Formats: sequence, C-alpha cells, structure tokens
Amino acid sequence: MLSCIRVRGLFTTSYPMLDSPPPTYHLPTLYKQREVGLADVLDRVLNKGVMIQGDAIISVADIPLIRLNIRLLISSESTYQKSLLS
Amino acid sequence: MSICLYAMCADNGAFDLPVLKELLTAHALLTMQKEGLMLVYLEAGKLPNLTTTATQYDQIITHLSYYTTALPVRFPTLLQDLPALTHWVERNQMAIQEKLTNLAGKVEYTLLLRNTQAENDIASLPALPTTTVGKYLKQKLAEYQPIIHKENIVNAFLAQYLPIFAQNSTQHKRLAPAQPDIIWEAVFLIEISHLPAFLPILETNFDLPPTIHLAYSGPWVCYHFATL
Repeated sequence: MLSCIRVRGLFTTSYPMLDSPPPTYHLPTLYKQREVGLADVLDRVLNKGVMIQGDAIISVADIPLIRLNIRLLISSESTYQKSLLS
Repeated sequence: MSICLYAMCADNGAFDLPVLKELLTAHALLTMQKEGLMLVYLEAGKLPNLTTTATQYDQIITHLSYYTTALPVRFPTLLQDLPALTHWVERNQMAIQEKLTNLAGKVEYTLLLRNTQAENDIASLPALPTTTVGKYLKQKLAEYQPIIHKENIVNAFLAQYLPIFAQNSTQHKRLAPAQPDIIWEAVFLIEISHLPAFLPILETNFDLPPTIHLAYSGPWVCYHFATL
C-alpha cells in the first residue's frame, strides 16, 4: 500500500507503509519516487539557491529591471528574451 | 558571450564519470575548474525558454547531487562572461567551500500543516451582548480567533513533534506559508544517513485535529540552505 500526500494540490513523495517491504533509502531511488509539482520546482529554482550579487550579475528571474556595472547596461525581461533569440 | 551559471560543485573527480559527461553533453552544459570547484554553466544563448529550462535545471542539479555536492545557483543567473564568473568565485571562494562542506551528504525536506476546514468554521464565537461594544468585540473575535486557533494548533504540534524532527535533522527553517490553507511550513536539512530514521516518523499518526494534515515533499537538493 502506498501513501500519497498532497502538497499544494499535487501529489508528492510516496513511501511504502509498514506492511510492505522495507523502504529503500538510496538517494537516487528517493529522487525517482519523488513526485512534485511544477509550482514546487519553480518556487525552489527561481527563488532559492545561491544568489550572486555584485557587478558580475546580469539578471535574476524575479527582478525585471537589472542593475549592471559600467561595463554593461540596464536591461529588462523583454530585452533578455530578445537577447536569447539573437 | 554571457553565461548562465547552474551550479558550483565540489571537484571530487565525479565529472570524469561517463554518466556525468553524458548528462552535461545532453544539455549542452560546460564546466570550468576553479579554486577546487567545478562550475557548471550554459552559454546563455542556448537557453530555450525559462519554464522549460527551469524544470530541466532542477533535474540536472538533482542528477549532479548523486555524485558530488552541488550548490544550486538561483535560476537564471546570467553573468557577462567567464572572467566575470571567475572573479566572483575568487572573491567568494571561502564561503562557497564552507557551504559545500556543510551541505555534503545532505538533502532537504519540506513539511507543512494544511487546514482543510474553512476558516470561519474553526471556532464558534461566544455569545456577547448586542451593544456597540459587544458587536465590536464580536467582530474582533471573529477576526482574530481563527488566527489564535491556528497558532495554538501549530504551537502544540511543534512542542510535541519539533524536537523529534530536529533530533534527526541538522537544521530547519520556518517558511512563510505559500497558500492560505497552510498554517505551518518548514524546511529541514537532513543527512542522507539519517533518512532511515527521519522518513518513518513522517508516516506515523500525528496527534492533530481531524481537519489538519501533515504533508511533506522531498528529497530536494538543499536550495533553502544554499545561501552564502
């Protein structure tokens, strides 16, 4: 029997209950068993992690206008999208 | 050419493994050795679109973490060029190495308490006189009682179970709940070797009101604990 728990409206990690074989705690297996929603992934990827500050940075996702040092320029999300196309 | 930095990893030789070489090649990722680190990046012009790449990004970081300690960088972080990146790494080398050491062999789990009951049903309000003051008090009680009720549930839960969670985790952080039905949310940093002790706890029956449920997600790469 599996227990499924909802987080933010989406099914997440399922783990075997006690009446089934002992669970495997091998990390890749746990990652594979993990079922997470896009919102959870984006919340972590876009809002967490190392935030590099300083002159070297061009943009981060949640700041539409981005400060650059004198070598660079002020840009925007739309400019960023255009730069990806060019 | 501007670059998109994905992760800073411990340079433990894992990047010589064919499986990692294949992963990097499949996603057009490049690596650079610097100060005992392996920097994983992509030429920014190769980013397809933000949503697709963001989900791929998590998969890549997760895959990297099987073989080495990966410090995820907030996505997308674009840098002017490689010299800009190396300059930044040189300035922050100590902090990066320290963080990689602290996060080695650890993953994070999110735990949350969700209330499935509508807020205005949480507690019945006491009978109060129908005077102006009585009406005012009733209005304020209606406003604050659900908050107090939720806080009481959370406090009782934390008093009973937080020491048990904490015993099997290295560190935890309380998060601001992302949705109104979530009354408590926290992320726990757990050593992989402690997972056999930690995960069964989450499957036990918690002493909670019938409308409150504990949910969890994980394992995740240590996004919440990667701040330098």
